[in-house]
This record gives sequence, structure tokens and C-alpha cells, in this order.
Amino acid sequence: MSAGPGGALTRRDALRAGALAAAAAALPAPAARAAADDADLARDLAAVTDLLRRERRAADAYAAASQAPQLSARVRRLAATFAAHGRERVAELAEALEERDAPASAFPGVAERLAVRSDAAALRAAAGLERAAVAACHEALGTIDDRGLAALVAAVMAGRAQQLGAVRLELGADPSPAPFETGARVE
Amino acid sequence: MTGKASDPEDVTTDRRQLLRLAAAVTAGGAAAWAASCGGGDDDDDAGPTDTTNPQSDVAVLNAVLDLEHLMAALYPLAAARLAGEARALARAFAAHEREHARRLTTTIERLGGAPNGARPAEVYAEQLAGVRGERAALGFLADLEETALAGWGAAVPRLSDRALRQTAAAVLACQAEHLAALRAALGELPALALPTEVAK
Repeated sequence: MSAGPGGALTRRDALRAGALAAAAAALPAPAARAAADDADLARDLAAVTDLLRRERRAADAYAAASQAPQLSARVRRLAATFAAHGRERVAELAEALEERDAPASAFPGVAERLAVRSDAAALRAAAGLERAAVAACHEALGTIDDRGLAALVAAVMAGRAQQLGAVRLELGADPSPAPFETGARVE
Repeated sequence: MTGKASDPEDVTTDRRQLLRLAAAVTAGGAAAWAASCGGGDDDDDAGPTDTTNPQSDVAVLNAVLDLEHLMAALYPLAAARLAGEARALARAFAAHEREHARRLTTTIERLGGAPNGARPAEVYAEQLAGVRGERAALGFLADLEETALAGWGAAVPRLSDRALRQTAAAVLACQAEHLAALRAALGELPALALPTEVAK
């Protein structure tokens, strides 16, 4: 475990070395079935492919917003951060698909634009994008069989929920209005 | 929330204390979880789910219930070190943690298991002894949320029941929102694209 300046633990160190994570890692996952059912795998891959498309569209939309001159520097910075995070999630999802012989390049994203007339319009559009992504991940977890894909989709859901919370704050709304976030509209 | 922590106190509270506490309060659930799974290797997250296993799911849920007891106890204590909007936020998040614990308790009972109880209050309280000032309290809570994300992120794929996975993921997403809000209060943006560990 590394330490921050002066030997103090940083919050990232705490996450990496987190006792709970360590405890969780010590807990074995139940044994996998010997062979995946083809139909189940196809369903899992279809769900993850849909999420990959969403991530590509969102990353493209945020990249465009980050260059939009009519937006404030604050919102453009937020969009640039989200675009970078989106590209990371695209790479992770594509890698997971390719590891399961489902080439991600076969599933291109579709261009999407955030409403960038103003900060408020862009943020409202972003909130909708994030909420829909959280909902899609939540729905996918109700069908996905593959534990590795389930872990990845949960991580994507957490990433999009972080973004949803940040966008709500920018809109002056409650960042976490309910104890269970499923992507359902509550604002 | 618009208020940012402005006081420059040292945010490097003794995080080792927090980590030790997390280890202590989760040890029971972890042991039960391991026992229910019969031990074995810990790196096989890939592959399809077997049929549902309530005993295994109870052990997983008890592990995160320990964590929720921790969160529910520490949030109000940290809130007392905050003011204004930050305090209101911490109180709202404390209510979320209590609801998570309540839902976990009833779910474990429905599955025929025995839910873990909370530790004595003083066990939790002593963890905040070195946390002084608003910024330090916010940093402490952000650490706590990152720990929660790690725990819930590990729990989701280990649950055999897909409906339970969805509920666990809804809690995970809530914790991610909490973290985003705490980071914003510290003047920071969300730091990670994938805030939980992903098995390769």
C-alpha cells in the first residue's frame, strides 16, 4: 500500500487497501458452471452491447459539450471529465465483449448531442442521459448470468450514478433523493 | 449544494483506524460468507451464475449489513462536525444508510437467516476521535463511501439471486451519489470512471 505525501494515506489508498475490499476479496465466489449456456451467454452479450452503445453515445455527447463555446467553463470541465470516464467505460465494456468472442467493433454507437444552448439545458439533458444509463444497468442486472459481466455492469452503474449525483448538484437539486437509485425519475 | 468546505484542517485523519474498524465489523459476515461457500479460490468472478443459493446470499448480505451498521452509526456523528448544507446532506445520507440496514435485515430474515446486529455505539464513536473540523469530517465520510462502494461492488456479482443483485446495485448507485456529493463539497469532481473493482 502506497502512502501520500508525508506518509499519510490518501483516499485512493484507502479504497485500494480498504479493509472491506480486502475482506470481500477473501470471500470466494461460488463455483462457476462448467459450460455456459449459449442462450444465456447471447442474452448477456446483447445486454452488455446495449450498454456499450449507450456509453459510446454519452462519451461522444460529452466530448462535444466540452468544446461548446456557449457553455460555461465549469460545465465544459464537467463534460470533459465525463467524456474521459465514458471512454474508459467503453474500453472496459469492449474488452469484456471481445474476451467472450463478441467483437465490440461490430456494434457502433450512434451520434448523439446534448442540448447545448445553455448550461441549464445541457445539464438537464445530461441528467436524463445519466438517469437512463443507470436504469439500463439496473435492468441488465436483472437478466445477466455471467458474474464477470455483472460485476462490470455494476461498476458502470456506479460510475453513471456518480455522474448523475454531480449533475443534480449543478442543477441545484438533491444529489441523492432516494436510498435506492434505479434510474427511475424522482425529480 | 453550493457550500464548499473552506477550513484548511488536516484531512489526513487516521484512516488506518477506519480501515481497522471496517475490517472488524465485516469480519463476521466475511467469515460466514466464506464458510457458506466452502472456501476456495477468490479470483473466479467470471462465468455464469448457478441456481439461487439463499444460504450464500444471506452470508453476502450480512457482510454488507455490517457495513451499513457502520455507515448508519458514523454519519450522524460526522454530521455533528459539519454545518449548514453539509450537515443537512450528512443527515439525509444517514437516513439512507438506516434504510439500507432495515431493508437488508428484513431480506435476510425473509431468506431464513439471522441478520447481524450493530456493534456497541462506542466502537463506532471512537473512530471519529481524531477527526476535527468540517473538511476532515467530509474527507472521512468520502473514505467511508469509497469503502462502501468497494463492499457493495464486491457483493453484487456474488449474489445468486438476480433480484437481490438489482437491489444491491440500487444501493451501490446510491452510495456513488453520496460520494459524488461529498467530493463536490470538498471541491472535487468524480474521480473514477469505474468506482468499484472489476474482475478481469
